[in-house]
Amino acid sequence: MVKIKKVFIDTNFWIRYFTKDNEIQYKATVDLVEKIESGKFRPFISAIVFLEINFVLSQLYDKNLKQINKCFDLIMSLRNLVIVNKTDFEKALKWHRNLKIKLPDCLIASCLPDNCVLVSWDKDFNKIKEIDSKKPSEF
Amino acid sequence: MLQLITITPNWQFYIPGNIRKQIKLNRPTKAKISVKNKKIVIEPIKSKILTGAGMFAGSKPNRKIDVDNIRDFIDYSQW
Repeated sequence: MVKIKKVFIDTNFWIRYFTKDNEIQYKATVDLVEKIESGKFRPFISAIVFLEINFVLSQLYDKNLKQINKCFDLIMSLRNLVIVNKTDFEKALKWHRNLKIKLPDCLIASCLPDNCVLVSWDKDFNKIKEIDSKKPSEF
Repeated sequence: MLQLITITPNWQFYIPGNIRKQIKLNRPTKAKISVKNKKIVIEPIKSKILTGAGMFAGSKPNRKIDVDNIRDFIDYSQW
């Protein structure tokens, strides 16, 4: 039986997916979403990511509540989406102190289920050896 | 072009490549299925999430940001 790979999609992926600020990287996001929709990957997201998307779209892109809710509905429609609401603060704090990585990054990394790849352009995640992180173009 | 296909004992069938090509169906997707004049009609539908790709294309942020490192621009006290 083929095991479906698990991918945790980070905030910068979604911002790029909706704003298309960079054509090449935008295409990589669409390719991965297509693969998820065809059942090749099982997507994960956390409530933290939703809050960050909300902040970025409302405060940095001046989008209104209706537009942001539309984005949330679209993300929620993703095939087999799993929303992770559990973080491991002790683990996150350890990474934050030892590796000098932003605490929110560490909290996101601590949400990752076993054998799940974090999809992000944030290079700081590469410093955490306990997790596997890849850029969208690497899928 | 008319083609013959087989419907399996589990009621599955294969969509031939040239038929897929004609309707530009190049990835697995969901589809609507119905009956019209005793014929099966299958209409591929674009997934909901894919309809929103680039929905804010052209929108510029109100300050200079680096999307790769977006957390550097999030004010967590504003949550």
